[in-house]
Amino acid sequence: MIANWPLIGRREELSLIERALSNGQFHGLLLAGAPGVGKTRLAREALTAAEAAGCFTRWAAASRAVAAIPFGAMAHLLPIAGDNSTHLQLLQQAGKWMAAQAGGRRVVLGIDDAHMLDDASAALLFHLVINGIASVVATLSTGEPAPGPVTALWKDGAAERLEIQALARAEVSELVEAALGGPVEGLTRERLWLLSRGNILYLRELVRSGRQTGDLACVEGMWRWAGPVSAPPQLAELIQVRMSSLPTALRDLGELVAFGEPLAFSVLTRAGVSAAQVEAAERAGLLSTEEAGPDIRVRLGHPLFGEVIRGQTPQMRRRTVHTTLAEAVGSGGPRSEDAVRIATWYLEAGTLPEAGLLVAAAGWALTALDYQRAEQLCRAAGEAGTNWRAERLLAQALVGQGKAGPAEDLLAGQFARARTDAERAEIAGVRALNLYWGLNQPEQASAVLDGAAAQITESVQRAGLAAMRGRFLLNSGRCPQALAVLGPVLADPDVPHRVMLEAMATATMALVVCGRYDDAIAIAARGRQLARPTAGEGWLLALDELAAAQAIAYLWRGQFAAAATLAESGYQRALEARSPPNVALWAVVRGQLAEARGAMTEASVWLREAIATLGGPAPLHPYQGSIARTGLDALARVAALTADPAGAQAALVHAEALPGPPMTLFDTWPGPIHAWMAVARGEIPAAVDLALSTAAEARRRGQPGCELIALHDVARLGAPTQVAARLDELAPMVQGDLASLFIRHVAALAAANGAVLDGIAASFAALGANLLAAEAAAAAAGSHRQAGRGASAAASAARAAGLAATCEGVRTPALIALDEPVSLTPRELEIARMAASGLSSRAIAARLVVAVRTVDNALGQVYAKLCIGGRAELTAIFTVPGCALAPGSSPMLRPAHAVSPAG
Amino acid sequence: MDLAAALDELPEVHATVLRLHRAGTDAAGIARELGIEVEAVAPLLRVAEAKLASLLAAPDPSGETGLREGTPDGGLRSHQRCLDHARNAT
Repeated sequence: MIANWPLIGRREELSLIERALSNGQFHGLLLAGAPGVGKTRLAREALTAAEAAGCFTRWAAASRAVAAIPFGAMAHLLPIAGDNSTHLQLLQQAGKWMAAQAGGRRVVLGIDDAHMLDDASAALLFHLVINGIASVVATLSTGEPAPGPVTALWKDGAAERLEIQALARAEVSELVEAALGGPVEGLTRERLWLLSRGNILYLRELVRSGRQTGDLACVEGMWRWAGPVSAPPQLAELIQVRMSSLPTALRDLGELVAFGEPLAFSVLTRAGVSAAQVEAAERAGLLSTEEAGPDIRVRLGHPLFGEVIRGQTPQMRRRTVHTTLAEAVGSGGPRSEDAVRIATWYLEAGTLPEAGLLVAAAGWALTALDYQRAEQLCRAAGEAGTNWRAERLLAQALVGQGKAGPAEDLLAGQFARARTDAERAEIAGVRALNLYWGLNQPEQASAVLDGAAAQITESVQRAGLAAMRGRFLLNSGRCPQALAVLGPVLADPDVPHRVMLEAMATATMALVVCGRYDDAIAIAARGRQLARPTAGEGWLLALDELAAAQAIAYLWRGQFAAAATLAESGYQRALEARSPPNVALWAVVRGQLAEARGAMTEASVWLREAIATLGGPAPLHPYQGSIARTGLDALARVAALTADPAGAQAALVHAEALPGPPMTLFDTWPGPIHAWMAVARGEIPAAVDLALSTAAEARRRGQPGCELIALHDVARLGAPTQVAARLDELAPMVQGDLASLFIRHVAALAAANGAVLDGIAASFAALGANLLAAEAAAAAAGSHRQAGRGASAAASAARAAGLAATCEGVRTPALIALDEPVSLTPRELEIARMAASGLSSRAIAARLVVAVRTVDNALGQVYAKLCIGGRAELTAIFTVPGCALAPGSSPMLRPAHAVSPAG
Repeated sequence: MDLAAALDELPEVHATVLRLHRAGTDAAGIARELGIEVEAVAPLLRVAEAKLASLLAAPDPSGETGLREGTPDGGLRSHQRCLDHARNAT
């Protein structure tokens, strides 16, 4: 971490200060703002700039320590006075002395914490500024009374007052990344933003503390905060001092909110709090309020206040606060989801509430994926009285926390005790999930589903089990079978929305793997209509899985922009929900999108963010394994494409080590990754074999989408004739423009048709698929060259080079071939460039101080090497977009290093 | 970046002063709404206008891909910086 943090987000403020100091209207600026917002740094930067501009600058800092001493803050700016000097004499002498010190330069004073100036110093400052002897840049804390002469500076118009604001969200991210010297994972950026709210002091202390404790660490090139964030000692001390200065009534109110936030004002009213108290607390910065429908939602003024207040609250007072909160919320007709808070507060207060409340609370905690809280509530329900529902919920809480063994012990005995189909379906579903993900026993999981299905008659209850079976089939790559199982579920209007969403997410992905992108998009669009925005995080994950599958369908259909729109909004929603699996899911999708565009560095950053996000201490959600696997496979492919076989291998090893059952889906989806790893090792024939093998496996599994992708890769690896016929057969099975473009691409490669390849390159480029566009253009160049069309070859090569340059280090066989240059000597290249720009041979000769004949000979060599007939074609080559006229800009035209410049 | 997205990226007070000013609220009204001194309104507004202009003039972080601008979280801007870091690291 760098010692001096850069100044970020203050360019406009600095400009304003500069203008205020340089125009004749004002003589300075008073920078007002909350403590920690960065006023002092800004004032110092302004003074540094003034000094650099030739001003005479001096700095003074006021403080409570010297506030009682006349001129205490500014004594070092004054001449040594005689014992009998009066304040008035000192004021008069100070101006003259300072002007003499400045030696004709303009005087600019920096005063920190001017609100704490002693009266004499404040008067001196006013005297210097109002008489034009000095300009000032001073800082003030908002909410603190300033001495009259200081206030008069802006009230009388001698200076301006500028309110300095905390940084914006994006500026906080920028500052943290600059300070840490590397990218920061999205959730960590979000967390630091929420905790600092743009206050630079808070941000610095949080980062410093995180670095010291090791909670903020760089993992695989990505900074990530693991574990809870506690208030750094320096900040805690500041907050404690602030709290201790508040009246007792406000501190009590702060405690209520600290243990209960967010709280509706109506709840506070029932707890005996008055509107005047809330207003006073808000004015003091202790609380913040916002409209929430007909009510007002009350929170602490800053997230870090809560931890400090809770830490200072004595144990007995805590119990009282918790009881007050539980009664205030519980007596006001609470929403059903308030059960979690009410039950938890009673438990914290040492009171065991009735079992019904605890069970309801546990159910809501599970909906919110708060498995630890759910376990606590279920166990408390057990103490409150035997409750069959609590036992079942406890099993789910254990599964969610990855406590697979104890969960199986419970679940194994529960099915026989079930009295209804709903209970049987619930128990069997949870048990199968646990066996599959937690205990890595997919066969036993399927057996549980089979056994339950045989005993359940209600179709609605069987639907949930079918949805789960469909997911297992998808994971094993048996997509047609998955779709067959899911069909009846999707057609049943009575299936609960949650089950329907899960079934639709699985079906969408299975359809994508099969190449039925239009069908996938249609199902996903229908499913997203079922979304319920307030239905908790469990719903959010199901909804995001569906939306992510839709984004992938858009991607493979060739609708990159639609995919990007979904992914961007999904990622933002996940960040706001602070849900690691969702953030990781969308980061993977965004990484795949970037890869498809050929933006390999961006892809790598997104995919590493996904892996880092999933690497946290939170219990592994059952589906996190598949998200991680998708991300690691994509990361391996990106590494392989950018000639990093070691990085690719490391990602695959990581993927293999993930917990959970084998995910054979990824043997074929989304393409032959091992083939690209062979390419990275330079083993092209082996790569072709691997891609063919993947295609064969995809065909065997009934995955036309995967098969088409693998066969297209075979063609990209240089064997288009081997696959063209099969691609024609696949054409009616795979939907979307991208698939038909793949098929036309392969046909054109097989026919070595340069003109068609040029058109295909343009089509890929129009989609945003720059890598494929570059490859098609490179192949066009080769085809043109073989046909003796030098100008066309050069134009295609230049276009390919321009596109490849956007793909950040990609090395595929097509692009490697592009790097085989037409060997123009540096002199030939120089002359060719001049000729293309319109210079005559005579003009070139004059410029290079050579004979005209030498120029003509060189141009003759150039025409022969490029297979062109003259200057017109040469100009055409050099004016092709992407073919810059700088030396070495086009691999096709780069100089042959073996030839000496003189040659 | 369009106006709505740019306003969302600004610090809250800057966005508010711009919205109030554009809605025709006078300096006294803005000062009351923001809880600041009336003399502080004009400089605050100038800084806010300058910041807004910077954001509106900023290049589209999705660049030449033709993709739409991201949501107003600064996510794309942040990732652009990540890319810069990654490129510098290599």
